[in-house]
Amino acid sequence: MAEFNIVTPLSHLGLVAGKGTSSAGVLLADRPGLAIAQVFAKKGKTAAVAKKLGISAEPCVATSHENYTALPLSPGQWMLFATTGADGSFQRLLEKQIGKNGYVSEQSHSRAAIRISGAKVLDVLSKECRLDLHSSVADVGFCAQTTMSGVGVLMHKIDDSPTFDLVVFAGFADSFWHWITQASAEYGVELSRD
Amino acid sequence: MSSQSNRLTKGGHINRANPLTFSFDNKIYQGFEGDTLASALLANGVRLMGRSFKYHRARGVLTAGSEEPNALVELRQGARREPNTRATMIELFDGLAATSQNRFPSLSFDFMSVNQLFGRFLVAGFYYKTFMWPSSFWESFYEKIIRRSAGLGRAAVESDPDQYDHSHGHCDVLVVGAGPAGLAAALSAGRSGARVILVEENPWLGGALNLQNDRIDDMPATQWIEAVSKELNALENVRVMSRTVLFGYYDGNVMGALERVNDHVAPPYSDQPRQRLWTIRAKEIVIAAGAHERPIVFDNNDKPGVMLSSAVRTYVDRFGVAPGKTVAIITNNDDAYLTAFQLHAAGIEVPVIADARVNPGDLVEKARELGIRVETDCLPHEAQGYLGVTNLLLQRSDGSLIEKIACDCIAVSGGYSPNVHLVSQSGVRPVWDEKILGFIPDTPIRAERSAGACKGTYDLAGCLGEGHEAGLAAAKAAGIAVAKSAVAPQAGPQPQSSIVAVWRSPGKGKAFVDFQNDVTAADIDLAHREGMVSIEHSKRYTTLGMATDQGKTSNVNGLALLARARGEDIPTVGTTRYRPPYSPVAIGAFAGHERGVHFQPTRLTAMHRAHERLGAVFVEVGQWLRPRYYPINDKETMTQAIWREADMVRKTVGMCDVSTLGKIEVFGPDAAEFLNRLYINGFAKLPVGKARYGLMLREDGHVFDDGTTSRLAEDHYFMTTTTANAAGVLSHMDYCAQVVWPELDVAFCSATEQWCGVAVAGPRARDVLTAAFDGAIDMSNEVLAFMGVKEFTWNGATARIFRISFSGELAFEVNVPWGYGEAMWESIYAAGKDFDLIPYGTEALGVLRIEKGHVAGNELDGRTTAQDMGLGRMMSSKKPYIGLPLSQREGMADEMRPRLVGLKPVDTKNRLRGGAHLVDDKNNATHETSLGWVTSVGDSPAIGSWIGLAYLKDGPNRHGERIFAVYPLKDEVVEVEICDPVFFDAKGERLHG
Amino acid sequence: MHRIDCPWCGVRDESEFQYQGDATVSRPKFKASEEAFFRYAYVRENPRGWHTEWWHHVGGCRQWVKVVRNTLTHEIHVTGTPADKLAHPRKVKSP
Repeated sequence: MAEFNIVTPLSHLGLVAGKGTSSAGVLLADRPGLAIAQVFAKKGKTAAVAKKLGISAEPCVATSHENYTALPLSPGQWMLFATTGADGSFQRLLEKQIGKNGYVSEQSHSRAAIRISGAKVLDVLSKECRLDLHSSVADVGFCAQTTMSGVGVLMHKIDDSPTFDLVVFAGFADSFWHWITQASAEYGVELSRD
Repeated sequence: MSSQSNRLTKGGHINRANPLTFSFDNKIYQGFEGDTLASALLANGVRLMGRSFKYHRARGVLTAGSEEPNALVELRQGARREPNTRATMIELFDGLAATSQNRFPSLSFDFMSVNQLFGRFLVAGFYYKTFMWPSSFWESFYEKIIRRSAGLGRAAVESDPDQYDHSHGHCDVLVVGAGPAGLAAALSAGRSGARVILVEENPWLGGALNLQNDRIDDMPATQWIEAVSKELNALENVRVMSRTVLFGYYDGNVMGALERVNDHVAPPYSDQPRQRLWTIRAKEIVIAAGAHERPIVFDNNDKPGVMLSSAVRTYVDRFGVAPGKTVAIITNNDDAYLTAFQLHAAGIEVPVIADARVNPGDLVEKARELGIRVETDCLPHEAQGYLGVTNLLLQRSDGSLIEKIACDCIAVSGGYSPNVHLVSQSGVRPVWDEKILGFIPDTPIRAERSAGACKGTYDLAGCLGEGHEAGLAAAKAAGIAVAKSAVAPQAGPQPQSSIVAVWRSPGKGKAFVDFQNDVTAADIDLAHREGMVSIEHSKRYTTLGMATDQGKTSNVNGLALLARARGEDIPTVGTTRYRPPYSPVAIGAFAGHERGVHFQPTRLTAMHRAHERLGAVFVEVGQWLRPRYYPINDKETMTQAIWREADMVRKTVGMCDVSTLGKIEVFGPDAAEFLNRLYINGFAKLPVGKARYGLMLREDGHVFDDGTTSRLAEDHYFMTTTTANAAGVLSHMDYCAQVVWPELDVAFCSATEQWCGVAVAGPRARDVLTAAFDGAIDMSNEVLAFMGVKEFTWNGATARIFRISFSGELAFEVNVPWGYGEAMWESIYAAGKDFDLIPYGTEALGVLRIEKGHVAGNELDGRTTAQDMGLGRMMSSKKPYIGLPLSQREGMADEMRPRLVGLKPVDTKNRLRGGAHLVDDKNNATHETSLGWVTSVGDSPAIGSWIGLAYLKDGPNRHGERIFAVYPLKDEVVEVEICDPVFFDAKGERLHG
Repeated sequence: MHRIDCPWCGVRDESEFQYQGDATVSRPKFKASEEAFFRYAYVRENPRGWHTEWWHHVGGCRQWVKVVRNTLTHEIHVTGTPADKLAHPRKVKSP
């Protein structure tokens, strides 16, 4: 096969890496190629899985390690993210780590991750996000599943600037991107790719 | 350009350095920055601003705020034309164009004003009584004249070019209204550290504060407002939202508000929305919504130039406009004296203060000291004039006339009605307060409290104190620690005003209660005589308090008149319940960005760009976009393309994107047992590496969904669902796992987008795939038999190949991770060149499956059983499953139910239609004689005619018989032959090729 | 609009949930009579006042949430997981 390109849900947009010097009110970055896996604990094994992976099993609290970040989804379920291993190696690594305590579903290709930052982040998010994202309620590491613009979103607060990662199903990525870029337009927006 | 003849030489909070040009009814005028359309028109001496709803009477502006019933205009032009906008709420911008409405041909000469002559016929209930019969006259005749003569502005006919947006807010304390009470509440709550949102419908803060005369904390009002505004804006925990009207109080203390982001500037607004609809979730609410002054009901009280006293004051105080050169004042309370003093200070003549009270109090002396004549025990008899007031006729309370006063403006005060709209929306019934002659809020039932004039407190010090306390109490209730040392803003004492009830000043002419709906005092009496004794009935019969102003100025007068007619007191009559919205909200604001293609999100498959490059025509399947067919050139019609695609699959090979099927990964020691209970057929004994077609029932025994499920490991299944039911099946599984059988150790998640799939079908399918995957997988019958599943590696990716067939041909479905989908499509397409491969869409897919008698969405319509589909033999007798108990009921298992058959037209030139009904006698096609219906049809290349699937009573026993398919919508009757639903390759030999 | 306290996610807007009906009926065992299944599939009370209901948090954590809600006032008294036994308030509040 002469040319072979792995596409990502937003790669057709032709975004390039950001300059990081933008004065735009909103910065939106596609984060392609993340390794993503959904982890399930067997009955009664939630604590065991959490311990094996060194992650929190409490709702809405992300655990970030050097190698991966874990967002709890529901009792005994997490979504884990890593910057490498989308070829299935992340899934296999996690399977090895949790052993017979649970299961891992490979999801690296199923989602698009969009990072949003800039001075007007909360103004943009509050257009469709029904959750209270004020820092007194949503601290760094806050994570939640919600619905924005009709699309299911797994969100994670990365830092206090604030920066959020928004994770959506790949099929909706185009539609969601269109909405969020349009919603950001009034504040000035820079689009880039990680 | 007209000069601003009524503009005062000084005063007002307008920017005289920035003149703005605008037009009204195509005439050009000038106003200033800070004006409203109403104030600018008044400044230009324009009193006539509209025609009334029913009688087409000349009307001018009555108020200076959002309660305006009269001065409704069409704002902007063309696609941006917005009817029924209140001139009092339109901020002037350069180039603003407004036109009057509900008049023909012009505002000063309105043909329909002859309605006034027939006024005695156009009474309450007129429409109910007159346009009753014949009913056929409604559409053709009645509706047209009513629409022409009644009704207000015209909506734009083009689609709205502006953007609207939504936003969501959260706070500890929401303060509604930025008058003295609201500002004090926002200050005390904000200083406590509570997260506060303060909403104010006007562009300015301060509400009813008298900018010239009031003093707070030893400062003039203007200065105090500035200081408070500065402090609130500096507080990080406070958000001040002006130009925002709170229109709805909903369950859970969720509030609806509309922010007019750009209504005050000339369109277009580039990337900004025109308006933003806010949903605010507040722990505690302080309502400081103020009060509305109400008119006095007297003859011809609707003439242009008759205005509320507070409005006259506002035009002078805020806008530097004299609403008239000679302003007569009529009142039943102290408030209008303040207006008189202000007018006097501005050098405007006040010929008389007509006070209904016999002993008004100290202010009389003050007025007389200024040289203003005061008449006590004095009521208005009639306003006179043609297109505006020229005279006011006064009378004593006994009806004896006093004299005629020449004036071009009458300032009226009938007292104030606390604004109880929001508390009423929250479920509280307002209670009557005889002292102020108004309704005040009863005990809250939600987390809200009222402060200031909306609670019946009218003195400034009282408003400030109540606001301050309410802000603190709300913050405390929201869990904020409140400092005890907080001090309320201070103001000097004001005398308590007395008020005397004047619900109808004696007279026999037209005296209006509700200006917007043209409801007169006589209408309310008439409604009462005709039996409308309940206030809710009276409201609906007379239309009192309906329409855009929601009766803000008219409700209390109206129900007082009803009480008088009933001979009862006002509390006995009670008030109607207010409902959202408090003020009109454009539909566009509710829609927000969700319009056109963004009405709902669109879901694309991984191969979408490849389909676009091939010129696919797409179809919406739920939220997905799927290729419907791939025309080879501009000339090929849809029918031709579908026929060609279906034909080529049977002759050579075709490829189809099947990524939209729902995919669910199921894990766990009990996964096998779980699936066994969901499907009617067995999955526990399915060997690893095998796929099986499965059917699910709902609990009521009807078919729910179908799909192919494979076993990848002992405790790992890969399930597929139909595209349409993917979400429903997952929710059903959530219910079963969490609620019904929590003891089963099973876990599952959607994998729909992790994997994308291509079906390759046709005699050359194996050749194409072998070439496409460079032999990476052995697809021989020996290794990958029918219903086999294999995993292989392709370009570093895990791929899964399923030997399954929907078309009945030799077929494979290959799944790869999303990112490889487009590359896989291109590889297969390129490899297919040597084998005459074509891509096919959902339509050809449909034809192929109909030829094989495979059921799909049209057959799974929620009313059919497995037996109806001919799949009864799949129902396991060895295990229980969802739907089994009720599927055994007599009616569900009845052999005479409509069951699946095939249909062919007897004359092969005829086409079939989905939805046609089947009858034995074509001359007797009725609901009762219908034997069943056609579910799916297609023009079959393999059969050489149209074919169809249908549900037919006793169908399986009637193969070979002829009946009729009737389709009344197109007046078609086609004779059809009943046959087996499997039209093609009945033995299924091709798929084993 | 209801604000529903999801035991996992916290208080969320009603729009994230799907109403899933009466939580006081539970699925009979497979061995149960046809009549029992008939009642489970079709027969529901329509109470005025407090009611225990299912709300599926489909726009969030996908958990089925038990909700004690007043059909008259829309007040939500308490929420819980499927395993929780939730009591109604003793006195019915009038609207």
